[in-house]
Order: sequence, then C-alpha cells, then structure tokens
Amino acid sequence: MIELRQVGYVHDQGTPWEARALEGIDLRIDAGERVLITGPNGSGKSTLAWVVAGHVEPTEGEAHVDGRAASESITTTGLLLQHTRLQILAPTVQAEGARYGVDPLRHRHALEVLGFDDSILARKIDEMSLGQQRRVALAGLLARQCPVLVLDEPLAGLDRKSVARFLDAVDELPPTTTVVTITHDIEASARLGSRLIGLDEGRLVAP
Amino acid sequence: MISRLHLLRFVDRQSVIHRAGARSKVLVMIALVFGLSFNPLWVPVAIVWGTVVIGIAVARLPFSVVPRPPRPLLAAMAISMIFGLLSGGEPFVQFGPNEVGLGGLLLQLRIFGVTLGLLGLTLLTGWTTRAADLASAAGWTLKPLAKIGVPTGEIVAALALAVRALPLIANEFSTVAAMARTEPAGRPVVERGMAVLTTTAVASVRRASEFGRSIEARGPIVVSPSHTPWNRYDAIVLLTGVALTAAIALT
Repeated sequence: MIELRQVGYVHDQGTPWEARALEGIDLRIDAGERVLITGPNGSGKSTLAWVVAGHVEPTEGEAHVDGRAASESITTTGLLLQHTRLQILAPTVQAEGARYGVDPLRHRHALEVLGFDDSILARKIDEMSLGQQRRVALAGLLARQCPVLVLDEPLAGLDRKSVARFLDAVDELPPTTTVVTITHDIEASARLGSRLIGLDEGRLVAP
Repeated sequence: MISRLHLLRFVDRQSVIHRAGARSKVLVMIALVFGLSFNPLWVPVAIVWGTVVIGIAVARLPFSVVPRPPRPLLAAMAISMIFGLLSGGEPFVQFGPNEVGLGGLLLQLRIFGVTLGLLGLTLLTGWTTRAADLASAAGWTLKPLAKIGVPTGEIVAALALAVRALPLIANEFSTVAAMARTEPAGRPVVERGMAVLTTTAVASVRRASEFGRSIEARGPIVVSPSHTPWNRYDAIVLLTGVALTAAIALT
C-alpha cells in the first residue's frame, strides 16, 4: 500500500531558485490497485512519481510504501522513466538482467511477453530504438517482481504494436502488484488504471 | 550532485554587478583566471576568494547560492590532504618529540584554494549574468582571434550549445545516479560509478549528435551579437577588475 500524508516538495529549497512542485498531497493507493495520475505540463506528476518511488524525499509530510518510508523501498519499487536510456546501466540486455541478479529464466520470459526472442539478450542497448529500450527496461522490472511499479509516461513515443505489447505485459502482472502510471494520454493508458487522479500546480484536483 | 552546483543559474537582482554587461564581467573573469593561473600564490588566492565573497555581497545574493560540496568530494579532499601531509617538506614544526613537514599539506591546500577560487569566479559570473548574454560576450571576446583564422563563430556556437546542454547533462547524471541506487547491494562501488559515468556519457553523446544533426539540417547557428551598450556599471566592474589583476600580478 502507498500512503502519502500532506506531502509537499520544493525544488532547491532555501535557495533563490526554489520552486514548489507538490503541496499538501494526501493519497492512499491500496495494494494491487492500478491508478492513473494525469495533469498538465509542470503540474508535478514526475516529482510525485519520484517521491512514490523513493528517489526523492518529500520536503514536507511523509511518503510510505508498505509501511516503510518510500526512500527505504527503492530497491523493491520499480520506476520506469520516460527517458529509459538513463535507467539501463548495462551495455547489453543480458547484462542488464544480471545487474539486478534476476533469475535468467524469469528475465527471458518477461522479454518474451514483451515480444522479444532470445536473440535480444546479446543485443547492445545503444543499437535499440526508444520503444525497444523501454520494453527491455519494463522486462527488467517484471523479472524483478517489484510489488510496486511506477511508470512515468510509459507509452509516450511508442508505436501501436509496442503499445499493445506493453499493455499486454502489464495485464499479465500478478493482481497484487500496485501500478501507478503517470500519463498525459488518458485514452491510450486507460487499460493501465482503474482510478484516475488529477494533479494541477502540485495539488490534487478532480481529473 | 552536479545539479546542486547551480552552474550558470542566473539570480535576478538589481545590483552593480548585475547591471554591468556580460562583456565586462567576462573580461574581468578572464583577467583574474589568467592572473591566478600564472601566479598561484597565497595572496592572489586570497584576492580571488575575497573577490568572490565581496561579489556575492555586492550582488545581494544570499549565501544559500553557494553549493554544499558533496560528501565524496570532501572525502577525496581529506584523503589528498593526508597524502600531502605524509609527503612532508618545509616548513617543519615540532609535534612533541616528532618533527613534521607541512610543505606538502600547504601545497595541497593552495591547489584547492586556486581550484575553488576559479570555480567561485565562474559561479559568480553565472549567478549575475544571463546564460544567453554570456555566449554573445564570449563571441565578442574571441573576435580578434578570427583575424588569424580561428573559427570563432563555430566556437561560440559550440559554447552556446554547451551552455544550453549543461543543465540537461547535470539532470541526467543525477537521474542515472539515482537509478544506480536501485541495484541490490554487493556490486563494487567503482564498478557502479563507472556504469553511471558511462551511461551519462552515452546519453550526452546521443544528445550531442542530435544537436549536430539539427545544426546540419538548419544550417549554421548565428549567435546574436547584440550587447547592452557600455554603461557606468561596466566602468566600475572593469576598473575593479584592473585593480585586482594588478594586485595579483604585483604580489
């Protein structure tokens, strides 16, 4: 379960460049729930994703994942970035799986679900398209069996076939997996969530 | 870590330094950098540090603009100072029954003084000057070199792109470093650090080639040569710069 209590975040707090990104966020997402978070550019969606994934400590309030501070769960909460290349730190697909010590069989199965065959394992990450890189990153998260997944604009820039494979893979997740999706495109992402949460100027609003 | 350095982030204030044009600030910075590089003694180091501290006060900047050094950097500095102390050298001081040479430690401290002083000058210029103005000021400063065939236009275009890309690269480095923390414990720190640097470099190279392709498609970049006219604030900054450079040269 994800629980945010009066969460606020100010970038560069205490400096002349300080800018508020989030304010007074109270949010509870139950285990296994699938939610979509939407809002205009600069509304704080990505900052909220980073707070939930534990990579950013809120400057106000508390963020918890399964009863622990979100920042203590960064190895178990999976975050899929929009700029996926920045989260694949290994040169090949196989090495990326090994980096997290995931079971090779499970990794291959996850890749298969996302439309790859075994030949992908030796492929260099930098020879892949954006869509392929994003599916490889998602396969890594699936293989790690993260109980919580935070997907930041996961369908942006993907072609129709890649979108379909991506959505199928998320559908196959165990029902206990919590999925939080940050999106602009509610229509395309509808299958990724059953609850819609709106965000504007860092505050929760009716979507 | 890098993004916390607040490199080239402008702080909007109404001060003498802010009102002076970018050209005069760049000229003074170049003069002080050359002066300190050729005469890196304690007094010039103190002059440059004093310039940065007084500059912050005159520009009405809060001291929160000064970046907090990241812990790994402080650790690296402490280790190098220990090595400096172990290397000995004059002057010698008596510690109980032992004579300790402080020469290596003092040299190391002076190297830090020079490096941080130069960084401070760069930061001060960035805090008080809009990044776009810095690129055209750099173009103006390099203009005489065009007469001897130096491709100043290309250098300025590259500088302008680098200035634009710097915050992106800093942001990407922070993102990659955050992603490295998601790995389970056990991977050697050096290996993890190399993976972070390699991934950031790959992302930067890709961005650079995107920039290159867009330049090829759109033709050469023309950096606006417009400058604010010389004013009395430029005179104040330039005269102060001449006095400080002379003081450095004469010590």
